[in-house]
Amino acid sequence: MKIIHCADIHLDSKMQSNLDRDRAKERKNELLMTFNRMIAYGEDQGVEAILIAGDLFDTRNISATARKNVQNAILSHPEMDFFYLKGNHDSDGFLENWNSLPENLHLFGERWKSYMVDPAGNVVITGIELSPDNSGSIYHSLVLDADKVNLVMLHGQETTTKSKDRAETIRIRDLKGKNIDYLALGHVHAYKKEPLDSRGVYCYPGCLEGRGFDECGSHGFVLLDIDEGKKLVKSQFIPFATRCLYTVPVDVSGCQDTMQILQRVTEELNGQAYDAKSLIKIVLTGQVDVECEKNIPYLLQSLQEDYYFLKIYDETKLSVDYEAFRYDESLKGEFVRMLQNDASLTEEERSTIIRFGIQALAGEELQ
Amino acid sequence: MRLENCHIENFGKLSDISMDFTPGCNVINQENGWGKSTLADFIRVMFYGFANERTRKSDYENERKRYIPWQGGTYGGQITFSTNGKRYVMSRTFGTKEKDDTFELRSADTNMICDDFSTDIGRELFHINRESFQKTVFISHNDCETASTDDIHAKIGNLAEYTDDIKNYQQVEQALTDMLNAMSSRRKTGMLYKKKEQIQALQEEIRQGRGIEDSITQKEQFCNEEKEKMQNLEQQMSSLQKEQKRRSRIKDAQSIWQQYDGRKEETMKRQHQLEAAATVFPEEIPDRKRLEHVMQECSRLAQLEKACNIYRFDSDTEQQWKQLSEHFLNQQNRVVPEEIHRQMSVWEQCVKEQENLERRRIALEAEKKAHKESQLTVEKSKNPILLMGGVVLLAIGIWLFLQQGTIGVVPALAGIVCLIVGICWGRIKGKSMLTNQAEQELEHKEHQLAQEEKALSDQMHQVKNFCTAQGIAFEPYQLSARMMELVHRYRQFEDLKQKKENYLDNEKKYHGLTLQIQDFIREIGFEPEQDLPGQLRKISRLLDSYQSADWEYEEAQKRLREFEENNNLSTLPRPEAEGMNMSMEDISTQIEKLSNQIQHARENISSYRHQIEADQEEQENLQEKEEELNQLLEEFEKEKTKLSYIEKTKHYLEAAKESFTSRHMEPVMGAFRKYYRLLTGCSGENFHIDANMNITISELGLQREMEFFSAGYRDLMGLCLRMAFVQAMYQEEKPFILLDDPFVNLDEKKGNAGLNFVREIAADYQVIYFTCRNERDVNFVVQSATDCGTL
Repeated sequence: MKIIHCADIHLDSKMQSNLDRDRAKERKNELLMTFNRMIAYGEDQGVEAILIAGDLFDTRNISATARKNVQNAILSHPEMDFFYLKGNHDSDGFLENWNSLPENLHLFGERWKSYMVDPAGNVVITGIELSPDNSGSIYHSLVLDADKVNLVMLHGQETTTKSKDRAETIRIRDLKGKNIDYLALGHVHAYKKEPLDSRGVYCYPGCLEGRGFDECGSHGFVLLDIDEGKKLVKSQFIPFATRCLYTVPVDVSGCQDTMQILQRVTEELNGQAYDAKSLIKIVLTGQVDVECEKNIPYLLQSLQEDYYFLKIYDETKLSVDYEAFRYDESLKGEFVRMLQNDASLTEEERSTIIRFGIQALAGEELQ
Repeated sequence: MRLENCHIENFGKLSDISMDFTPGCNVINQENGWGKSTLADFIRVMFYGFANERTRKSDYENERKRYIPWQGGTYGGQITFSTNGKRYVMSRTFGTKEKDDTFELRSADTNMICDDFSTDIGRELFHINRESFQKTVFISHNDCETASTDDIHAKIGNLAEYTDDIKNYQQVEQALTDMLNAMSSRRKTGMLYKKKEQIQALQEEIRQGRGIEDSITQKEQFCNEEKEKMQNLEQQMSSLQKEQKRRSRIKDAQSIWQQYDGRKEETMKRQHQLEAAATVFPEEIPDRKRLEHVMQECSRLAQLEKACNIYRFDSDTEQQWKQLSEHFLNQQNRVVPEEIHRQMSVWEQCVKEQENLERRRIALEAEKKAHKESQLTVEKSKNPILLMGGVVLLAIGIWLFLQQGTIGVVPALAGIVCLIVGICWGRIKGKSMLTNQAEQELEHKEHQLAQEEKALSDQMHQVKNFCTAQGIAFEPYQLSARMMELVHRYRQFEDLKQKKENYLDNEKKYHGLTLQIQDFIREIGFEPEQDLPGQLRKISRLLDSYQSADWEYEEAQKRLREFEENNNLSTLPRPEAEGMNMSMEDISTQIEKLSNQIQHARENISSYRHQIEADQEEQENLQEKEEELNQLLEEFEKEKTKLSYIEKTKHYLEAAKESFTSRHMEPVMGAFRKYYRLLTGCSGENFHIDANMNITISELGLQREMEFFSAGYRDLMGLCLRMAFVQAMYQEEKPFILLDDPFVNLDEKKGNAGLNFVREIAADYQVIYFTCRNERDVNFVVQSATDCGTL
C-alpha cells in the first residue's frame, strides 16, 4: 500500500515577500498546480491515501479557486482516501462549504480518531488536532494496537517549549513506545526524518513549495510504501516543488570592482547550476576594499534575467588600506587619516563612513 | 603669465580699441563712462566667457546681452599673452548664442593655430573657475570682498589634479546636505520623516485593529448561540416532521389497507363468478385442448358427409356398377387391363406372324413348285388336284376355325395334308430320285414353317380362348376394338369400384367420428344433439366464459398477492392502532413557524459568518500590515543607520576639509598680514583665518567676522585676502592682476596706501589698474614708480 504524507501546503499563500504582484499571483497559482500534480502523481503511483498533516490553507479566508480546486481534487479521486488534519493556519471555512462531506475525506478532531485504511484493518491512521485544551493530555490517551501498522498524524512544533504562534508543541519523547510506526507531522517547513523509537520514525515532509528564502532548497512530500503483511513502512522524500529557492553566499573578498564581483558571482552560480526557474538570493560576503567600485543595481540587472527571481544582499565588510592614505595629500587622504585616528568608532563604522566619504567625493551614490 | 596687448573689435560701448600691456603696473586712467569696467570684463570674458548667460532676470545680468556692441559690428576681439615662455594670440567673436561664438588660438611667434588651450582657457591657465577668478585675480571696485572657494582651496593646496577632491568639496557638502535633507526624519519632505509617519499610521491601524480579535470572538459567540438556537429549532422541527411523516404514513397505510380490501373483495367476486361459470358443466370442466380437438374433428364431419355425397352412386351408376362388378368380379373374368393389352399385343403379333407365315408359305410353295417343276421335268408327275384340294381344305378349315372354332381345324388340317401330299406328291413320286440337298432343305423349311404355323395357331387359339372367356366375340378383324372396349369397361369398373370404396370409407369414418363426438359430449355430461357442431360451439362458449372467469379470478389473486408482497402488510399497522393527538394542519402551521425561525437563525448565522469573515480578512490585512510595519521598521532602522553614517561622513569630511585647509592657512595668513601692512602699515596680528579661509579680527576679546566692519575696511581686507590667495595659489608662474578701481571706498589715507599696495604688487605681478581719478593714479602719487605708466 502506498500513501502520500504531505503538510504545510499553505494554499492561498500570498507569496508577496519577494515578488511583485504579478509574480506573487503566478506563484500562488503554481502552488495550487503543484498540489494537483502531487495528486496526479499519487494516481499514477497507485497511492491509496493522502495524509495532509495540517496547514493545507494559509489563511482563514480561502479563495473560491483554492476551495473549488481542493474539492474537485477530492471528489475526482474517489479511489483515494484523504486524511485531513487541520493545522494552526486552517479553519473550518473549507469544510463549512461542503453540503455533505465526501466519503473519501476523513477528518480529525480534538480527540484521537482512528481510521482503518485497508480492508483487513492492518493499517490504522490515527490523528488528533492539537489545541491548548488537549495538548497536554494526548500522550496518555493514545493507545495503539501493537499488531497493526500505526500511522499517527499531528500538527505542531517538536519542541518542549511553547512556540510563539498558535501552533502547539509535540513532545516527541512522550510518543516513544506507543507502537507508532510512522509519525506523520506537519508545521515545520523543511523535510526532517528522525527515529522515534526502536519501532518507528517521525517525519516532517516540509512544505510543497518554498515560499520565501527562509524555505530554501528542495521541497515536496513523503511517499510511504507499506508492506501490510510484514508490517514494514518505507518512506521516501519526493522532491516536487515547481521552483526552488536558494541562498547563495558569494565571497567577494579581494574584488576591486563590480566586474570582478560579477565574475565571482557568475562562477558560483554556474558551479551550482541552478535551474532557471529558481529563486536566488545572493549574499555577498567577505572583505572588499573601501574603494572597491561596487554597483549592486548593475549586478542585479546583469544576473536577474537568468532566473525567475534574483536579489542581492551585500553583507561584505569593508577593509581600509590605511597605509595607502598615509601620504595622500588630498582631502580624501585627510578624511581617511582622520577616521583612522578616531578611536571612538568601531571598525565597521569607520569603514562605512570612509566608504561613504570616498563615494561622496567621487560623486557616486552612497551604498 | 603676462598680457601683451589686446584689441577690442566691438564690446559694449568699446569699439576698435587696442592696448599694449607692459610687465608691472599698467594704469588705465580714464574718466567715468569711458568703459574701464567694460575693458576689464572684456579681458575676463576673453578668458572665461560670459557669466549668467542663462539668466532671464535682465539684460544687464546677462553679460552676453549687456556687452552687445552698441554700434554693431564684430562682437569680440583679440588678446595676446605669454605663458610658460610661449606667446599666444587668442581671438574670440561672440554671437547671440554660445554656439555662435568662435575661438581661435594662434602662436604669436609662428602665427600658427595651436590647441594648447581650449575655449575653457581661463580654467586651463589659472586652474580656477570664473568664480574663483573673480574672487582673486579680478578685483572689481564694487567687489573687493572675497571668500575662499573649492578652486581656491585646491589651488592653494596645489590640488588641481584632484578633480574629485577638495575642488568638489562644496558640491559634496551640498550633495550630502541634500541627501540628509532628503532622508531627514525631522523635515516633512524627508524620507525618514515620511516613513516614520507611515510607521505611526500603521502602528495606529494595528493598535486599532487589535480589537478585531475580540470582535471576532464575540461574533463567534453570537454565531454559536444562534447555531445552538437553530439546532433546538431544528430538533423541534425534526420531531414535528417525524410526526408529520407518521401521520402521512398512517394515511398511506389507510390508503393501502383500503386498496387491499378492495382487491380482496374483487378476488372474492371473481371467485363467485368462476364458481357460477363452472356450474353449467354437469360433469368435469372440459379440457380446452380436447374440446378444440373435438371441434376440429367435428368440422371433419361435414367434410366426410360431403365426401359421402360425392361418392354416393345414383341408380344408373348403381346399375352400371352392378353389371360391371358382376363381370369383373367373376373369378374367371378377373383380368387386368394389362392382360387385355398383352392379349391385344399377342393378337396383333399373331396377325403379323400369320401374314408372315403366309408369305413364307407362298414363297415356300413357290420354291417347292419351282423344285417340283424342276423335278417334274424329271418326273413330270404332278398332282394339282391334291394341291388344289389342300388349299380349299385349308381355306375351309381356316374359315371354319374362324367361324366355328375348333371345328375348322379338321378341314384345315386336311387341307394341309392335301397340300402336303400334293406338294409332296412329286417328291414322294420322285423321292427316290430326289436325293439332293435342296429337297432336304425344302423339307426342313416346310417342317419349320409348319411348326411355326402350329405355334401361331396355338397362340391364336389362346387369344380366342381369352376372348371367349371375356365374352368377346372372336372376330379377328374387330378383335382389337373389342379388346379396347373391354379395357374401357374395365376402367369404368375400376373407377366405380374406387368411388364405391371411397364412399364406404367416408361413410364409415363419418359414423365413427359421430360416435366419438357423441361420446365426448356425453363424457362432459351433455346429451348429444342432432347439431353436433352447434352443440360443441355452445359448449366452447361456456368454456370461454368459465376460463375468462378463471383468468379474472387468477388475476385478482395475483394482484392481491403482489399488493401483499409490495406493501409488507404484516408490518403495516392497521390505522386503528395509531394515536392521533394533533391535526395535520396544526403540525403544518407549527412546521412553517419553526421553518421561519430556523431561516431567521440561519440568516443571523450567515450574517455573523460574513461579519467574522470580514473581520478575519481585516485581521489578515492586519497581519499583512504588521508584516509591512516590520518591513518599514527594518527599512527605517536601515535608513536611519545610513543617515547616521551620512551625517558622520559629512561631519568627518568637514573636519577633514578644515584640517586639510588649516595646513594652508599660515601661508595665506602670512600673505594677508603682509598685504595688510602694505595697505595700513599695521601688523595685522589681531587678524585670524579659519580653515574655510574666513578672516576674523580679535576685537575686545572676541573674533569678529568681516561683516561687522565698514565697507572700506571690508574692501581693504578683501583686497589683502585676494592677494594672499593669489600669492598662496600661484607659487611659480604668476598671473596678471586686474584692479578695477578697488580703492573707491577708501578714504584718502587708505587710498594712498592702496596705491602703494599696487606698486608693491606690481613688483611681483603684471597689474592692470583701472582708475578714473588722478589722485588714485599711482603715477601721480608715487613719483618714483618708474615702472608704471598711464595708458
